[in-house]
Amino acid sequence: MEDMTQYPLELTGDVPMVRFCNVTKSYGALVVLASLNLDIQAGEMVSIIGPSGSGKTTVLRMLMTLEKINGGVIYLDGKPMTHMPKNGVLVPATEKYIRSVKGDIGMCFQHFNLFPHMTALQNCIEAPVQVLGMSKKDAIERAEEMLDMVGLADKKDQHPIRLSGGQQQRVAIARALCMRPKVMLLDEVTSALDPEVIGEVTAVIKKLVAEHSLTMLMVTHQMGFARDISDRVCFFYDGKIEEMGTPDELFDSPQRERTQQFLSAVKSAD
Amino acid sequence: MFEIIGNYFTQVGERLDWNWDLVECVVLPRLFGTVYTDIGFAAGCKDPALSHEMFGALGNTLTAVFLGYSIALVVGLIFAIGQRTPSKLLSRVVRELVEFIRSTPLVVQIFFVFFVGPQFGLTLSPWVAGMTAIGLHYAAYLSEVYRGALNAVPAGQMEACVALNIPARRSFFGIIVPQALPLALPGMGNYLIGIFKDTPMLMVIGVAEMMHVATAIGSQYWRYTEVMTIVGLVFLALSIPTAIILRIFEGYIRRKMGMTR
Repeated sequence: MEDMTQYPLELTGDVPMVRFCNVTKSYGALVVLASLNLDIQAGEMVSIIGPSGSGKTTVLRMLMTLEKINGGVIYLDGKPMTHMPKNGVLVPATEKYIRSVKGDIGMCFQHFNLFPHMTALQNCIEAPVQVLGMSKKDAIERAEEMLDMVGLADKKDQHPIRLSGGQQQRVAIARALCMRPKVMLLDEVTSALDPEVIGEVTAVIKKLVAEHSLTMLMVTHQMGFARDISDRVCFFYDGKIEEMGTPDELFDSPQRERTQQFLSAVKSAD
Repeated sequence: MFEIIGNYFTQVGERLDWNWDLVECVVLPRLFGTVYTDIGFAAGCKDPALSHEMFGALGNTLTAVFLGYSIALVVGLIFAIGQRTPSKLLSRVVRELVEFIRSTPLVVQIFFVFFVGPQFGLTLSPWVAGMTAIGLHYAAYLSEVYRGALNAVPAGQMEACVALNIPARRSFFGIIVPQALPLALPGMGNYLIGIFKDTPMLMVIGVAEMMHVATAIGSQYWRYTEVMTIVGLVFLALSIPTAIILRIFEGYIRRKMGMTR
């Protein structure tokens, strides 16, 4: 058993928006992430790159509570979210506690995961009405504003099946933003898109970074895009952060051999 | 060629012993009830065999279908949800129960509930026993239809619900079930017709549905040709339009759900 007294009940001082503290994740004998330590500051845009199976997506899924962690603690805005304080120590969080803290996180998926039986607008108002208890009128107002922001105000009454992949992903971004998250997770949001529509999604993300003070964590295979908009880039290899730095540091002068190999492989594929 | 076929049917027609009086004065009044005689049919009969019920045996059959299917729809969903719960014990128990119900014949279950139940202090009327047996039997089948349809909804839908913090109950009934419904409809329609055609089994415990009345008439007049033909035609005449209506309904639901362009 892990000694939970080593973890503070709450972070104090200069609190990062997200802190992974000794986080491990394994499926049986397969270790996906071994003791991950990573801080993400408020308003920071962090990209995660790396080869398939290196645990990139798992990082996001753990933060979104889609995966249970096997060790360590994740803090959100200073408060533990995988655990909760009880009698002066951290114990595994209950469903109810997790629901009360994870509302500050939004996520967009590789395959959009829009609700196919609802129009774009209905997709956007579902959670604000059901979770935040907003009135339908207020929720629609907010949703229209967000759909306008992603450039799809005229498609609000269309079902996802009638939208292109790029349009669907933009609706998914608007849907996540309607919940006013502090942290936004983007899991390979352009990987399932046709090349000609990738630009419309990246443009929306760039706009988000420029105009909002969102904290963002993005898994991507588009090196150029990661370089353009990130404050920091993490290179994952074999369940560990192999190298981390500013985009210029990491892409121009990678220090580790694995990073060099990966970047040159990606470059030659382009 | 056509002559040969024509001759064959003429011969069959000549050989067929068909009594229109029996059809008009006994079979149809008993099957269709007082509605049939009130309209003015069977007026020429000296002594029409009146049904006590307004809609006769057909009315009872349709009531049995409605009640049995309603029970099956609801209990089937409970069975399906029971197999999806995180509790390993509960899902195992429900799984085995469904397997048990599916693996024994309906007619045995009907007999068992009605005749063996009283030995355990459970005395049920034919209707209650029949509806319990047929409802549970088809609930087991429907739960498999539901289970398949629910499993066919992509896992990403539930993940999106988690990401949006939507509560579990709302996620299931507001997001997952509506998407599973169009997938479940073909199977659900299949079992609606199935339950309709299985109602004759209720005759074994004395529910006065069509088959029960048909055998009663058959043994009373020692003539089965007319009554069994008519009963068969009634089943056919109701099953085919039901199947067509279900198909139209399925298309309507799919369009309404935005599942087709």
